[in-house]
Amino acid sequence: MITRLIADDIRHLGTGAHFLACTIDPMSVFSYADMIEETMKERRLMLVDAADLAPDDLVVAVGMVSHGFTFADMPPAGDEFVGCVEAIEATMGQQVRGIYPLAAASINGMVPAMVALQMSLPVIDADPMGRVFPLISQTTLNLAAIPIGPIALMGVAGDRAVVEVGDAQRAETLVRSLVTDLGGWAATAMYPCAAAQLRQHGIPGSVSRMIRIGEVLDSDRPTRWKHQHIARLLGAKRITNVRVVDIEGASRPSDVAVSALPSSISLVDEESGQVVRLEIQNEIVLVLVDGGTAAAIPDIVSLVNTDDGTVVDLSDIREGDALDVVIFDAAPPWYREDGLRLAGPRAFGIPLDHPRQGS
Amino acid sequence: MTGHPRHLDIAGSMAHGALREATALFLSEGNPEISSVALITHLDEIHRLAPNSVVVLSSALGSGGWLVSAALRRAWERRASAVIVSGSEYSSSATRLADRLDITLFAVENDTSRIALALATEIGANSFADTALARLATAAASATTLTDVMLVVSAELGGAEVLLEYDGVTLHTVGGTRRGPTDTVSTDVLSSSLGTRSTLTVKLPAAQQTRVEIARSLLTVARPAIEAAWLQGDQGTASPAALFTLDEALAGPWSRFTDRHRDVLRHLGWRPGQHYVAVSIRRQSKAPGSSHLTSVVRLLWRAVDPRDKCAPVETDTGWVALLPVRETEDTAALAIRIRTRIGAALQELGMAAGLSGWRDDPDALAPLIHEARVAAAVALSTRDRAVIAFPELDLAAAAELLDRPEILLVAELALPHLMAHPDRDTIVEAVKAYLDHHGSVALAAESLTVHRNTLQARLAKARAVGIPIDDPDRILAAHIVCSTLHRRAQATSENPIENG
Repeated sequence: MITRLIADDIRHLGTGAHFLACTIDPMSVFSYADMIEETMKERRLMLVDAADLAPDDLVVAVGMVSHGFTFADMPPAGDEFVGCVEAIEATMGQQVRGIYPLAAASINGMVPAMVALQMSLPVIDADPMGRVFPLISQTTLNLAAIPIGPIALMGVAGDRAVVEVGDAQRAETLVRSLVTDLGGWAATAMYPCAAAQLRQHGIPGSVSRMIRIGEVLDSDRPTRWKHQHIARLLGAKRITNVRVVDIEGASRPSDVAVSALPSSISLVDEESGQVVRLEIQNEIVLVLVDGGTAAAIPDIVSLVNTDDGTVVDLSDIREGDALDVVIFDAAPPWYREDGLRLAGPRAFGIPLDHPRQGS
Repeated sequence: MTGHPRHLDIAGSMAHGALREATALFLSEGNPEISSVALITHLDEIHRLAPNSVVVLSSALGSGGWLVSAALRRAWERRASAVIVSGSEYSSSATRLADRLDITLFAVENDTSRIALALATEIGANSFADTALARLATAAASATTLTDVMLVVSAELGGAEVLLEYDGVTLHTVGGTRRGPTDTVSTDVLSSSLGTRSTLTVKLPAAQQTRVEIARSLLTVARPAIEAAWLQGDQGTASPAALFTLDEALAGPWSRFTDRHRDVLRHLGWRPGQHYVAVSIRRQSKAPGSSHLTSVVRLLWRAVDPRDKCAPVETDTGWVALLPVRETEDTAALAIRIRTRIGAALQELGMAAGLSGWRDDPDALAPLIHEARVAAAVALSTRDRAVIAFPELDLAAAAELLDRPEILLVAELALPHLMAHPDRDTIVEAVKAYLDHHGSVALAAESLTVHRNTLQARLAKARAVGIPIDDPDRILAAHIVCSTLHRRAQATSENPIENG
């Protein structure tokens, strides 16, 4: 299905991207939304299914890879992602026919729309994560042995590198190293593949899902309606109206490969007395309810304010806040044995099996 | 040793066992039993535990509040008795969850494996009592003083009060006193040696039968160590032979005594140049063979001299100690202190103590000891005060004493000018006659067949040497003293003072 996106869609896309990651710094998401909307006044932005492209069409994922710095710290010049896609084309000797997000959440859920506008290419309604993971190797394409490379990187200073590497784990090491030298973050293009491969091994509909989430949360309908429709849309379960009682920083040792300061948030259901504990590592990776595992990565966990249904920024949570915890399934491949091995709790240093393991 | 199998439980282990080292973050309402302990290195291991296990999270498992939360949940599902975590791994939310699940949560500062091992030992011993006994035996063996051994017993019983009693009199106490009803557990100590029942007693909060049984076992194990420590404390006592020599020697020149009896002086703690107050402890019965009481007296004395620097030494009539004092120290205050600390016990034992006064001459050991003995004798005879200082008595002491040697001793101490006077016997005879005739100079002179003026001159000499013949309050004492001196003068003895 081919859809022309309008400005409202972009606004909803931003809200959905924010919701799926409870982004620590949502400003970059909404800055991108503003830029995209501005560019859309002159150009059309198309959202297509992978099946709408020819099977052999070259498609590539774009996304920002950060190692300490964000867009806010060092804003992009604007040509970084285009430069990366052009480098892929040059390396592959083939023109790119479609852009898809490296992760359908957070800032990387927004970048493809801008790149697609800049290059007059469609955005493909699919991604290889179905959410956001911190490592570029944590993709369903990697599970399917689709090569991650060549990878093109371009920093804010205009430096550009192409890494010809097949193994995603090896690529992780190389890219992190390069990103540091490129200035703390880099625009990247990776997982160049045939549209048919993306259709078969990617997560379909992940971009349009962000838009639909945004439609619900951005609506003028009552908060209760928003909560109910989000749950229905995502097949989510909710832990409603729990109040923050404790916030711990650096609550667990940090994995060197995953650059994030672990933290924890404890909440209490004031009616039932249930104690809810959220473990955070960029995203929410574990939810314990009375010590029992209610959700564990790759499950998707998001937070919305109980009172108005707006998405919660993890960095803005304070003791006393009343929140709803929304938990829903990630894409099915992540619950396979290889999927949990790559992106389950143990991959994040948590020595727990996912509840679905062994069941 | 424990008689019959007991169940370990959380409260018991907190009171006597390994859990004493742990900080209770939350205690469940019940007091669950402990059937096993598991050092957890993987959370899933908790799923395999039997009910009533204690879950100890290994340091190797990692860290984090989520870990404690997850462990609490799994432990709760397995009906575990408690969860123990490292002190750095818990947060307020973990404590909150323990409260919600009603499962006991402990934190330990050290490596959790240590407490797991200690608990396992208790379980292996089938009761923490066995472990406590083994621990007590080890600790008591290394304790060198009676106080240390009693403290070990007290500590094993959660700081319970431990008393050493002799014939119902408390000689020594350690541990805190508890309010409310208590159960008492006792065992005899050194009774065969002392000839009188002495006991080691523990006071426990009432209605804790398990602890009573443990206390009984602990006292049995501790008794040899208590006896050894008690007897060891008496080894510093000078031999009876040396002490008898002390009495004898005090009658002679001081310089000769210091040369001949350095060992006795060492036992008394005497040092040249140091000022002392002498303390004499005497008992009602003058029967010989009271050496066994030296252990009791020395132990009792620790309430006055906790560091045992000036322990009493035995003499033929009681015990003598020398208390080092500063020039400004008030003897009366010292007496009050001793009376407060051991007065009641002395009275119950049929004993009394007397203190000497202050002497400018630091080497005047003999008069110090004599004063103390007189004061003790008065204290014994009056029975209303267990401890008396000699300065409180002065010559009036004579009125309290019917014992002639004691009266003569008072005269020697209170009327030194008279005793040294070349006309002592004549003066004494004049005063006695004067007082025998109720202050009539005429009758007294007539009874002595001397002229009135002669008698007046002798009475003037009496006043000059300090005989209080004009003081109504002291005239009786003066009469008694002079009568006694007169009787002695009539006798043929050359000794100015008898040992008393």
